Amino acid sequence: MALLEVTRVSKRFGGLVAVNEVDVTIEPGEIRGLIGPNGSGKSTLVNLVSGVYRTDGGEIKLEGRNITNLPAHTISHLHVSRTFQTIRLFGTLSVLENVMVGFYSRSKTNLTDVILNSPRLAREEAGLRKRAEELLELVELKPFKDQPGKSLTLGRQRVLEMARALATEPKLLILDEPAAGMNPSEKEWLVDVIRRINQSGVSILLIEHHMPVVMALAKRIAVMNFGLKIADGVPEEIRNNDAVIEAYLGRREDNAAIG
Amino acid sequence: MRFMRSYLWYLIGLVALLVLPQVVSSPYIMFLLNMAIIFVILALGLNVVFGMTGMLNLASLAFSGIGAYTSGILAVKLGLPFPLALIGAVVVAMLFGLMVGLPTIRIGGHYLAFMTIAFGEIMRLIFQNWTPVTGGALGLSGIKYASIGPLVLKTHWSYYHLSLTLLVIMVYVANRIRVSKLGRAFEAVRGSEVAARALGINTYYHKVLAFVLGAAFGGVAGTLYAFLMRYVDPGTFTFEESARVLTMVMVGGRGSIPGVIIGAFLLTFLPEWLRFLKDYYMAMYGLGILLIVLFLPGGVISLWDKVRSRFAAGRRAPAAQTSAGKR
Ligand SMILES: Nc1ncnc2c1ncn2[C@@H]1O[C@H](COP(=O)(O)OP(=O)(O)OP(=O)(O)O)[C@@H](O)[C@H]1O
Ligand SMILES: [Mg+2]
Repeated sequence: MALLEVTRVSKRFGGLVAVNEVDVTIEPGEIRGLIGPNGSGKSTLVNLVSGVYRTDGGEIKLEGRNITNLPAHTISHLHVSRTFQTIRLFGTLSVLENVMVGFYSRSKTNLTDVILNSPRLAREEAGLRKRAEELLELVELKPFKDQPGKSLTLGRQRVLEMARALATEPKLLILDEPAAGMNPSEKEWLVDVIRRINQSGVSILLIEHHMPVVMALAKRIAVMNFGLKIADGVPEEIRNNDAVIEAYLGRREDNAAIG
Repeated sequence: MRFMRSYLWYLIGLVALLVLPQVVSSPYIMFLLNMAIIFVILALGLNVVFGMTGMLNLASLAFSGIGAYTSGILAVKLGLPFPLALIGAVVVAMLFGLMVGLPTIRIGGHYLAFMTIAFGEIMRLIFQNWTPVTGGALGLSGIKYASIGPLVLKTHWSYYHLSLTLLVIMVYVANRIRVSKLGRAFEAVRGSEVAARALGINTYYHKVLAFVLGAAFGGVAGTLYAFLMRYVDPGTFTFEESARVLTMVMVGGRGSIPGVIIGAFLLTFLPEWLRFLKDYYMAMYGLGILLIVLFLPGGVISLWDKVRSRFAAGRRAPAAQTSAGKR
């Protein structure tokens, strides 16, 4: 059974159809690529799957279970987690605390434990602190754990968002343009980190503009343009697909006209 | 280690507050100290709602009003002693918090601030006009001296020890919230609701929870006020005073518990110290606050953070790393 099955999902903003009857499936264990020019609807699709937006039609299934239009926090409880194209770290929290927020919903202590500082809470807290450090180690951010999250470089902030998302124990991790704003060496590091996360058993939906990053990681790539899925296949097919080439070339001409 | 150090500062503060009444001879100053503690508790409550969770509540005084009237009525009409009146006031304030929070937080955003102003005005009108229960415009009088068991607290000095005890409890509670997973969840909501939700936090539930916890602080502050004055005046619980509590949080350092404590003491005593300025007083007071908000967005407590990171920089290489972890 597919891990995620998106069937004919649509989203409209006023007159604009941002996502138009799109189908996508993700198999367990896979790194799935999703590319497309600016404004093609990739982030909107992510927001539909993660419950930020409500759909205007279609169905989203996780391991056969219908999760369409469930609240975002419920979808997170069902082990789907994500990062954001515009970084959304918790500015007042340290790197370690940012990750620990991800454990919150699976915590087994209550308000009384919090106020009385019960041994149960102290035990849980110590365990989570250790687990958060392990996650930071996985993404090579442990040396920064006590710094404010926002003090990291942009590239590291993106990876911190990934560690934070991993704290929710996702089966599916959605990364919305993780390489944006990264320099070449950071991109190499990122490819490495994503591969390591995937090898730990997490399936990944990777939205990315930087072709080398997508091509290095994804076995199958879907392509969107103006809300429609225009192609879907292995990297080789995508590279040689006429519709894809046109979508990207067409956009370049637009830019030339504007610039 | 860092924990030890922050508790050390609380301890030093507590010792100072215990010594203070020995050297104060004026009942008026003692009264102000009691008032300062009441404002600290109010500001700590607003710090949970606004400082940590990011919701602008402009009705702090409405909740303390509910606390003051509830405890006052319980004391006058049912003859309940202070501890029971306190519990009743906290419960009723929390119920009001829930009742106001559930619908208004659903709407959220800037509307929340407006709705809380409206709620504050409605409560003021109720305090003023529901004469059979609240005593109406004449206020609620006849509250007996607070007593704990056989101990009757007749002076501002003896009452101060009750205030201080409740202050210690409320600082402890505020600190527990701040340093625990609950504080992290609140700070996450303040940082980014969308991200908090994506991490599995039910943001609506937690915003309502923060609001209700904040109301509990109002209930405690209101009870302390009612038994300090032994009279509750509807003119006390105004929007202006709620705005003053907000200023205390901002000036002290939004989100920081030591900051909020300093802010509340400062803004209780500053008007007294500036009295010699007479007509210029309001202008100077306003200017001072403006300067702090403009040039010290982290409040006066951020000065301390700066000094400390200077020292740390002298001792080890990477400086200024701990400020986010600490607050
Ligand atoms: N909340 C919104 N309200 C109105 N329009 C929106 C909203 N979100 C996205 N859109 C529009 O929907 C279209 C798709 O946007 P989306 O962000 O999904 O594109 P994208 O493929 O992620 O682009 P990019 O590569 O630039 O991130 C765009 O035209 C965008 O302007
Ligand atoms: Mg996007």
